[in-house]
Amino acid sequence: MITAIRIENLRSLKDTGFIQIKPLTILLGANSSGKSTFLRSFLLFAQSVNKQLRGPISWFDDAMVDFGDYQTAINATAKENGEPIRFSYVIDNVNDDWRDFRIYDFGRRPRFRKDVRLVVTISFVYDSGGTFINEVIIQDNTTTMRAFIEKRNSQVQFEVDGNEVEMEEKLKWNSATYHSILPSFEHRNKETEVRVGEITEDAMVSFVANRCSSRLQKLERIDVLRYHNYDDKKKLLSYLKNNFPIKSFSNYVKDNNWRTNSHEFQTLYGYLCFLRYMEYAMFVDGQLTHFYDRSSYIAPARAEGNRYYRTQGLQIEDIDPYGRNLQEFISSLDTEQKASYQKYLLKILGLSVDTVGEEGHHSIVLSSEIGKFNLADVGFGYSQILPIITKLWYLAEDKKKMHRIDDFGYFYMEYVGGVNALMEQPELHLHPAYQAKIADAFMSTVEKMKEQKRQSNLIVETHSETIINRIGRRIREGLMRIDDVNIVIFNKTLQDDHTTVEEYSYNGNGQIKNWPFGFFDPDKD
Amino acid sequence: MLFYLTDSLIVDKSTPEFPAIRRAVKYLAMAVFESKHLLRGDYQVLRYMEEEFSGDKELYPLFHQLVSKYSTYTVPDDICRYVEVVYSGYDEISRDGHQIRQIPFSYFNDSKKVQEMTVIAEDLCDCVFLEYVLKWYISQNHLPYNYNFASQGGGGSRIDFAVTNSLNSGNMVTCITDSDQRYEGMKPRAHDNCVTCGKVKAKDKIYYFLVLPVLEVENLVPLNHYEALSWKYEINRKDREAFKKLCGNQFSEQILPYFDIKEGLKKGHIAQYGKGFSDYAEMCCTCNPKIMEGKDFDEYIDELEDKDLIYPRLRKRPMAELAPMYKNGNVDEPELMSFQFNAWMEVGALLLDTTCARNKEAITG
Repeated sequence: MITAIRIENLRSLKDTGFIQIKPLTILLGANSSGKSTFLRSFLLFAQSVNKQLRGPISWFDDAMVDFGDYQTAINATAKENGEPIRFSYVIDNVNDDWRDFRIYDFGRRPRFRKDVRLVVTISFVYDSGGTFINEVIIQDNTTTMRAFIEKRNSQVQFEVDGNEVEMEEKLKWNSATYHSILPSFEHRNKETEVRVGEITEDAMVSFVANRCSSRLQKLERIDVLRYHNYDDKKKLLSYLKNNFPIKSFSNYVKDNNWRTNSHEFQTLYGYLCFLRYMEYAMFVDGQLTHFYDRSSYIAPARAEGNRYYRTQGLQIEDIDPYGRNLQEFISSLDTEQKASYQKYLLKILGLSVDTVGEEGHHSIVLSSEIGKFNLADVGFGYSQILPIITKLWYLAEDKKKMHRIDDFGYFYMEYVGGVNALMEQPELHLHPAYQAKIADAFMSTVEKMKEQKRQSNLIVETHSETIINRIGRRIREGLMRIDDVNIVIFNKTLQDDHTTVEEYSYNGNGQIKNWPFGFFDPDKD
Repeated sequence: MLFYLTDSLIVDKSTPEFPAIRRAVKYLAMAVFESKHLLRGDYQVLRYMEEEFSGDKELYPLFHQLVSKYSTYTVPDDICRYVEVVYSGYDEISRDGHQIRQIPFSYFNDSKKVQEMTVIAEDLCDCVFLEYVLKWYISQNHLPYNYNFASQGGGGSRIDFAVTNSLNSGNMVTCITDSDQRYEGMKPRAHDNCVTCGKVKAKDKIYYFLVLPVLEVENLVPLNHYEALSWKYEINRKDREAFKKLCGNQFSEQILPYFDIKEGLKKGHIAQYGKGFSDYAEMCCTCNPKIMEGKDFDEYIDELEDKDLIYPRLRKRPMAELAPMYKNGNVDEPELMSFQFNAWMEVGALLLDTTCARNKEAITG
């Protein structure tokens, strides 16, 4: 589960530090302070992961976001200093995630430690061939592993805790992506990534076998090394000397007086770390891909309500960013879903919504105690709030298919986790009373998603003081957990060329600790 | 000043204290409404007062705002000192990095007690300078605060009387005096303002007191502001040249906090302040050996009368000339020495704490 993101050198975001992604993350800040850049970075990858690309990022997409290109997206100071754009992630509960996320590698499952926490940093650079990744650092509880290339076609170099590991096999990175972000390892014979893993494993097995008695028949016995918890060098060395099942190898280690800094030990440790790195990298790539792929976005200005909508009879699975397919979406709901939807709307807005129509066109009708009204005949605010409320309901709805299976060629991944719902200024055109209702809907959705044990995140960019205060009130009333909310403030003054980011949290009284005085004041500079 | 209403003020309306509590809160809230102070509080008491003043066209919106925006209407971190209004007892406590004066509601039984903070310095020109420092502090730290205070000149060496009188008249007072220190490490004397003002009895009053770590407030004036004064007279120019010798060298940070800008250093001061002063004067002369006309310091001193200057002053009454410039904002960006910067930060923080007030134009209450 990705729990924090850090962005460096993207537009005004020189270094955000790690921003915690909680079930409800609220982004605040003056205009042009960088909060949209942060939110839209999700869409940047969302629009990238489903395309066949020569590199990891598709910088613009008419349907989503336009960052221009690498040169326009990179922070000006970073560009001058030759620093890359970097994205870093904290991935917690790695082991738990395997319940939802599986890599089927000939039936083998990764051998991660139960309590492992990964910190991953990916550097993006640019050459005439476009954007590519030149460095991936993966840090687990004990070890920092760094794979990097000097130039696009250079050989991959690998370091463990800052020490270079000599790789017998010459490996390169293939930057082309599809349903992925990280580059794949490529052997000189254009072998696949899985073969690279096998080749490395073979090399490790040969390395050990060459130091065992010639009577060793079953090389599979060496495989046990991969299953060993080898995070700690000293423990590994002790294991090799005293508990390794192949005695001739243990004797070799003892006879040659291996120490943690011995060349042979370092070589073996390097093989093991690289294999570990490969597993991590595949896991991380899958996590990131699905994290971004499951981004669902609502734009600040939604489409105006129409009197009639032409219907194509589409089975819609999500509201589009502008709510233009709202009628098709409502019409797609089955009876059970519709009942749940109406119940939710009654709770939040005090009215119900349905579609009525015939022969190719439908209307959206709102029903309340005082009657039924076409969406076009009620205030503009309803057309703005309905797509949001509908999306929030759908996020919380457990009667829908959430899992999908993607074909990854050699791998099959199954993901049944949550989504990232991204909203920009949901309060636009809404009276504070409705802004408060939206806040209530956020919290209701968060609660419901948590009940379903789905790790979904609502990430909301807003200027609404009402939303902030409503959340505080619900915390005070015990209806929302403090730990489920993160308030992130982006600051950028005219004098600065970059944004500073600070995180805030509520206390038990629903007050925001260290809240910057006068944040919402009109004459704040 | 920021006042914080505590839940201890919630009493049954039938109790005899209720009218007094209501009156105290009303006075405070009116003062806040009039942009003399800031108000915050515990949630329950704010709700209670919102309901209590629901028919009041001025106070209901104030309390309603405090309740409806409770999440963001916190005690700001920028404010270190505030007053908690409690049911009974005077106390001083620290909590979450804040210094809190606890004052019982009964103190606020008179609208005079909630008037804007009175800032007392040695004279009114000093107050103008201190207000400039406060503005600088607010701007330097990008703080969106409004402030409000009444200035009062303390009459030089009688400042403790002015403070006592003002407190007895029901005012809340912030007093800022200089240290009268002639050199680093000089012990204050019993009659110095920094001592007498510190002894003002104010346990049951709202009184804040700061001693500037310099001889006089003039020592905190940035050198580039002195440059902006008129130097058309020859005698002034000579003094300025002598003063400049004290600036921009390795001793400046030790000399300039204690240099007598208005009077200069006199021979007679040595008898008055002792060896420490003599060493200090020697350090000044070392920066400008010409002043000793080729003699060593002891020879130079021996030849002077008590009334003679060891080192000339910079200007006789610079603050009187500077005050209009500060008032009109007609000064350049201050170029502060290290000791000045620290003192300005200290002054700014105290004045912000004690004079912060609601901005009428702002949404923030």
